[in-house]
Amino acid sequence: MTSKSRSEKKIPLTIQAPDNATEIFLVSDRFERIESGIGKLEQSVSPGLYKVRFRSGMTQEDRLIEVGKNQSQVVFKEPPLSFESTTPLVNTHEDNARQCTIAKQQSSIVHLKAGKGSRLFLFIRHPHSGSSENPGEGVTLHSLEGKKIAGMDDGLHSSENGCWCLQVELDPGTYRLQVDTGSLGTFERFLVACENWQTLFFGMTTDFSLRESEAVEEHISRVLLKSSSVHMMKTGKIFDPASASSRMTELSKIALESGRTAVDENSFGKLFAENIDNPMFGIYGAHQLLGNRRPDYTIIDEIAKQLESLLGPHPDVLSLWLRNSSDRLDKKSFTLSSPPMLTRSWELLTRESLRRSSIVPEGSFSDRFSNGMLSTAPWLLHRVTIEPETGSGTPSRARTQEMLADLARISGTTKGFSLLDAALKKRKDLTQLEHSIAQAMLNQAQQRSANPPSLNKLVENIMVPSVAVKRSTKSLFEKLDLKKDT
Amino acid sequence: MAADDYAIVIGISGYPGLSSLEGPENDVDLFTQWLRKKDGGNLPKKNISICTSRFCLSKKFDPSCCEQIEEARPNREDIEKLFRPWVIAGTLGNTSGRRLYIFASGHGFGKASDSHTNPMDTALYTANADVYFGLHVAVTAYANWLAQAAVFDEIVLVMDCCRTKNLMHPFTYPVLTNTSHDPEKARKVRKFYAFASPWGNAAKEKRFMERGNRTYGIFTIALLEALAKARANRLGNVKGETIKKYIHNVIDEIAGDTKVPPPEIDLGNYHDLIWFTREDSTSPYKPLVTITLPEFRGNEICHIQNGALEALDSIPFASERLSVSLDPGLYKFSIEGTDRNKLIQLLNDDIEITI
Repeated sequence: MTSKSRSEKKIPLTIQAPDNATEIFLVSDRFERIESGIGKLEQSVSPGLYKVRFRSGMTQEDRLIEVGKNQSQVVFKEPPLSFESTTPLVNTHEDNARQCTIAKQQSSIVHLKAGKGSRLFLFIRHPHSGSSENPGEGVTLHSLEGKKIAGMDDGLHSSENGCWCLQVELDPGTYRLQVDTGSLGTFERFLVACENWQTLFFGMTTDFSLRESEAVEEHISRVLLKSSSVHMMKTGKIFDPASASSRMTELSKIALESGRTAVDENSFGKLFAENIDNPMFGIYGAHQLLGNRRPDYTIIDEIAKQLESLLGPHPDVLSLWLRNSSDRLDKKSFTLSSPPMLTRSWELLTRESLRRSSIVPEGSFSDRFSNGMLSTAPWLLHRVTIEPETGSGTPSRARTQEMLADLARISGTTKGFSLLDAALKKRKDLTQLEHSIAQAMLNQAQQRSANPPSLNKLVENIMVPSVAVKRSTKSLFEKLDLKKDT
Repeated sequence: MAADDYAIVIGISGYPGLSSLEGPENDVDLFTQWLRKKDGGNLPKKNISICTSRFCLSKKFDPSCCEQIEEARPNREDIEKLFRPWVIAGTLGNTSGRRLYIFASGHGFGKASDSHTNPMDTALYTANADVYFGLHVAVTAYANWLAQAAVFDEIVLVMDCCRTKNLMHPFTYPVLTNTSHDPEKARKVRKFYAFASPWGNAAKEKRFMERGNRTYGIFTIALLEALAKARANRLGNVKGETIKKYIHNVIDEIAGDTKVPPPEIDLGNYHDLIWFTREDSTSPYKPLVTITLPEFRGNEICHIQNGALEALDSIPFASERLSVSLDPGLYKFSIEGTDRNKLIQLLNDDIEITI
């Protein structure tokens, strides 16, 4: 029976999700999508049977509903769905009451003082509390300059509950949370602490042992940064694993992670106000909306303004202004010297660096960390390596373009091509950025393209600030020791 | 036999420089079996080019040994040479066949930049990739070029790999000619591009007890189930849209406890392609619903309503179990004279319910 044969009589159907970050899909008896919404869906439908799909985070549940011929309206409410959550929250897949209680209790206690004005709360847990290994193993907190502030021994380990936590009071600013994963290397992510706010980092461990076939007896269990979560609350407040705003914020983080939009644009302002005690909800939501095809900038601008007045110059908030059409007055003067937490912010920053290279000042931390950035949604990660020297000077845009043209011309010759190809094959001699530039040159040579890759194209493809691309072009040029007559 | 259909089937399990996978080569086995089946792709063996570590490596190579990363296969050359005959044909302006299947399973990533303008760009990491040097083949670029050149009337692209973005590994396009193609011919190429995950997301594999406890890509299993069970239209044709819907409806069930993002399937802008035609289309299998009445008294009647709540049938129970065959859809079963009823979703499998 097709839907065409259905009665013309339409009945208002309201579907209410358990929270405002759950997606709803209404599907016909022919398994065709009729409508979708977030939080709530209202649609007039013919009497009949329908499938309703709810998606909270990565959890999906289907319900079959009946819209009766004699009903004047139908309201369907879904109870809360359990979803996979890195943050210890009530009614989630990894809901562990003891871990929730410890997170709640310890979130108000300062374990280490290393400054004043703001706090960083780190909470790491095993997905199953059976392991006695300390989940904080391999974790260290550093200043942007690299000075170690705290390590595993500074925190509190509850072996019976499989969790570790540490709260540090420190000066507002950006910090580096590093994890030594053993043979896979050391990775770090950035955490921003704001005046009078507490930034809460939640992580779950995973197995970093290389592979089973090696019969490694020692399991390397370390926190997985890419799936970690960040929440915020006013200093002195206590983290509540059962609060609606914690749940909304976590779902919003998951949506950003999976490239979905789980905030309704029209009600975002209202939702932000309701969840203002956890500003990360606003940050995640605004970046989601900015990724839409035709975002409503007035809403994003309004949220950005409010976030800035709450948190001050937070890189992930400032980055919201970095788009072509932003009319922020001081957009042309502010800089982002410290790397942001989110990959979306980093993308906006690198694109802006093409229009205005001073957005990332030379030698700043955003510049210095460019080599080794690993962009995994939603967090910007960095592989800790020996930082290449940045002191030899950054060439101008024009000089960089000249060098690129020279590189392109030389790699177009048989000898030059072989030289570049050999350099690429000797993997460890080039930095990642130099390798990316050299690879672009080889591609250009193979395509016999008349135009050398432009600086703009390289920045767009490699996704690092223009200042870093300029400097790496120069260092590649020097390392290859190319002569114009090659 | 579909003598004008061709297939490139790639599966990479061993990645010395990344974490190895268990599923891709099994995925290749399954998809190849479907390609060869008479009631599947029906391709002659010679028309299928397979590229896996098994086909490329000597027995001496140990994929778990990082020291041998540069010898790991298949590498970019191994894969790209499979496309060579069709690229040459496209450059010369020749049409080579009716359909090309491109199946790729392994580690992959999506293009990091320009994500909103070209969201399909997806690459498969080659076996010799590592975190420093993300060697890869931009499989979508080949599919798009071959479609532009109208080398085939139809392109079926299936990528069971991650599409997470990795900014340190710039998406490298293959070196293909700038031959000017006939835009009208290109427009008429039918497409079925299926990705295990949406852009920016990871694909998952898992061990399937019912398949000999072997590991497969979850998306590959969903695709093959769709190919086996999706219903044909009245002409016996199983179309791309049907396969797409089927996958979306069953993938969560197949994934079980493993959480997977919704796959991304693009049917192109021209007519939907016909995956294949079922020979038994005159009598398509109707799944069986078996209803059990735990409190059977001997005089109950079961009323069945379809998705539009129209009465389909009323069947008296002769025993505590009753079976009825129905087309896929949503149904309401109710027991006359009681408030006992059940709403069911019937896909293509038999189900048992208790009312």
